[in-house]
Amino acid sequence: MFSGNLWQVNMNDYITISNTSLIVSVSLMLVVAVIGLLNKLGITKNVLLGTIRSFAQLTLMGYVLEWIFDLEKWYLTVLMLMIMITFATYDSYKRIDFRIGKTFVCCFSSMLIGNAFPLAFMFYLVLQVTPWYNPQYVIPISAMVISNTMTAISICLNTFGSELRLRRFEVEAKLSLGAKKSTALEMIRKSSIKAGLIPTINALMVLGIVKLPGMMTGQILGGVAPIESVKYQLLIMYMISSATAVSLFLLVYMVERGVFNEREQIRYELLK
Amino acid sequence: MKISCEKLKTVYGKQTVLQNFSVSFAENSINTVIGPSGSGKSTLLRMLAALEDPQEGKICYDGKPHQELHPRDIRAKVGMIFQKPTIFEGTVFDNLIFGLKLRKIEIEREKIREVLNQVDIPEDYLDKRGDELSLGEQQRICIVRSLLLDPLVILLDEPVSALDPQRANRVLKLIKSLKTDFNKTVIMVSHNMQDALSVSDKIFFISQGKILFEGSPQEVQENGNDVLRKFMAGEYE
Repeated sequence: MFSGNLWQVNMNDYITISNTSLIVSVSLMLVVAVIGLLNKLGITKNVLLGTIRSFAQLTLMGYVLEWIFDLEKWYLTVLMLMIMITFATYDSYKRIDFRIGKTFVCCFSSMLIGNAFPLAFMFYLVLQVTPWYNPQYVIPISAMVISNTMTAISICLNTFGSELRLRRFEVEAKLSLGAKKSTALEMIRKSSIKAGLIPTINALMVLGIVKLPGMMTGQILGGVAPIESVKYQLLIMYMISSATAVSLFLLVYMVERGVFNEREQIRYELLK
Repeated sequence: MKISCEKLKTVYGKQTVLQNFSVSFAENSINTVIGPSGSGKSTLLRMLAALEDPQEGKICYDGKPHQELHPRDIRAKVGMIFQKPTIFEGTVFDNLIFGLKLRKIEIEREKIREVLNQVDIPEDYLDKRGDELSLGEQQRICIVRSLLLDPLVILLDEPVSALDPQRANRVLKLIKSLKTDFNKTVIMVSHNMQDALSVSDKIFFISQGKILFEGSPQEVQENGNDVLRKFMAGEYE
């Protein structure tokens, strides 16, 4: 349908968005606010706050990225990744209603290790990015992977908490029959990891049919040939799937340790 | 196995569930702890099963205090049956061998069939899915699952409260046979005096974390105090 030549356009050929155009486009957010007001949804304040925050955060990020790209220092790339993981952890932590005491640390470390493994695999074995910290590749791709893991983590832990409350007696029946802690929690482990992975698996199923992901759209708008952007998108999806699976696996194993006290009894306060 | 509790105290938040609670259960007998909702009877049972610890006091298993025993060692000798049947994923057979597999005990299917016959469960149930059975059948499967591990004591938390009278009777019959046919000590929690009278050797009436009366079914009927009579008449708040 599209010839390769048609899409090998110069970077200058895409339509640039002027500041005026951007301000005009904000009017679309007013529609959301008005619908919220008319229906008394109580979301107007959050819509306005979200609009301002997204505008400010993204603009700031734009400048920060330009600065990092210009300087091209390894420590800035690493610092940026750590900041992203910390914020992602904080954001998932806020949405989690099942807290075992060291939940933040568990989320942070599982996200760090879970993302590091597939990202390193893709950057250095598949894409062979040079230098290894090349911010143009490492930062935007990592951001996409980390943000997906973030959502999965909160779904997974909330499922873990609700399943534990629901199936508490099943866990205790297994303990009574001689099961060790990990055996007693097996079905909860399975269902919470599965719940966290389902959105990623569903996304794989509809990719390209009902969904053209943001990155691919962005690349196409930027003048990259669709088939090239498809390859990138596929790499991203594989990274997301793998990072999510590893992060959830690590998270659940860490969280499990906090479910019981030293006498292998469920901590009562977790069931409230 | 003889179990005794000495000066137990348990508090949940601001609510004192058990206070200075002492009781002793004789070996090879059926004991029923009876009382209104919130009286602390289920908490007591959970502590006997090492699923919770008291904040104060001790529970002695053949004279040894719980603090000196690993919970898994207690659980190996004390089986626990919950109010709502806890049937696991898989077939009835999978459920029955769950604990045996964990302890690496091999058992022939034929042996399980024999036990099922003894407790009046058709042997062709073995290949049925556990969640396809009625609540009464599930509860009996839970009892047999625990029985196969040969514990010295079996604890039952309101085992028939969710069942209709006919199914409840079959479970109560099985509870009786735990003592007569399998030589187990049984400690059951109930809020139904008729159930308690029909199976127990000894009945303990507790309210607000304290024992208000203890005695045989005959003593309950003949010498029960005012509180107990009110409870039996359904007038106790």
